[in-house]
Amino acid sequence: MVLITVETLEETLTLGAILGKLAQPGDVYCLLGELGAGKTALAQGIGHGLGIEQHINSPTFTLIHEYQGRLPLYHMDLYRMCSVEEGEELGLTEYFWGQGLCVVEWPQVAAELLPEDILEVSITFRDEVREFNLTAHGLRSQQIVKEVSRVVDSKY
Amino acid sequence: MAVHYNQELVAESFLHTTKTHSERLIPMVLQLLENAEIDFGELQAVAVAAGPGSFTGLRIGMATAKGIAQVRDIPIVGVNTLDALAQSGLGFSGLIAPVLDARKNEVYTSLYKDQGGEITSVGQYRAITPASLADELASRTEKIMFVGDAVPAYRELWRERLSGQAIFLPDELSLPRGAHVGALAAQRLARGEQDDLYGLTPFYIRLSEAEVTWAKKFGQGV
Repeated sequence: MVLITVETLEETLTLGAILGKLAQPGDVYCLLGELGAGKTALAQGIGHGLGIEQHINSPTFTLIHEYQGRLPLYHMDLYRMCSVEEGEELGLTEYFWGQGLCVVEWPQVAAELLPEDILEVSITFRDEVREFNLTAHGLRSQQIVKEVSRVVDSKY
Repeated sequence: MAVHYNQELVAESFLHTTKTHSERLIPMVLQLLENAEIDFGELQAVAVAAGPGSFTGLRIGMATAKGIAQVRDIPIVGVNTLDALAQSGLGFSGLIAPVLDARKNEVYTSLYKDQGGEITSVGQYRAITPASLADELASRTEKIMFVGDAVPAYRELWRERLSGQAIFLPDELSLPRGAHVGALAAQRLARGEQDDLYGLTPFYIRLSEAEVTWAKKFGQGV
């Protein structure tokens, strides 16, 4: 588990870019946090890290946005999804177990469909200060957390 | 996909790539009909593999089949994909276990036997982990023939758990074939059966009853 504190949008985007650069096919990043926590901002940073030039919008109403960068990016917001069955019928399983990077906001309802080894990013904030809590759930995500830690330490 | 005339297979085509098939589907249908020298207007029924399988693949197939059936105003027949796969085991004296990749480290499967020249179901459609399937089958005395797209991924595991009991059909005999779907559909049609155009839905094997919450699954972490 690693805790990273940021104070500006710039820093959120930089952290996202680090996560984007580290991503490998099949990785799943689950973003947890209240409205306004910075989940979509982080996703934008991730997109930059993958070399995606398109503007990354919140998928709150569309559920899933696909982009092509160094890897396919599947950016999801499952806030409006009512049940895991709905997620199944949307084909979420194929995304989660596919060869791109999944960045999932509000992933809770899809727990059953997700692989075990996800990188969990929990965001809390007060005023302008945001805390990103990175938790690993398997070998691959542990690797990512270690790398992020190393890069962030060397930068600051 | 395949075309049958009077219950005989006339033409068949096949595509198994990792790319999305949806763009090739309609061109392939038209090419198949052209090869068979059958006019689109001569079609009398449409059969479609109804699942289990990939949700998106099933819906593309079903939408295409329904579109054709609606435009031609002809009967549509759904065929269970596991039933169709099991047809590859005709002539085998043991158990036939079609296995389809269900992601999430699970397979869709059921059990069949050749009884008097006809493949009959002796099991239930379900989603199960490859390890659990091996445990169940280990207690059976018959030989088991595994067929389907899950074979490459789990062949070693099943070979290890079941040793000489397990037989694996190679890739070219292991993929769902339009010919088998058509043959089973023709049998249903001959019995006067068909499915409702609007009511026919893909056959999904539902998730297990036990609810898996985020807290239960991801409560701990490092």
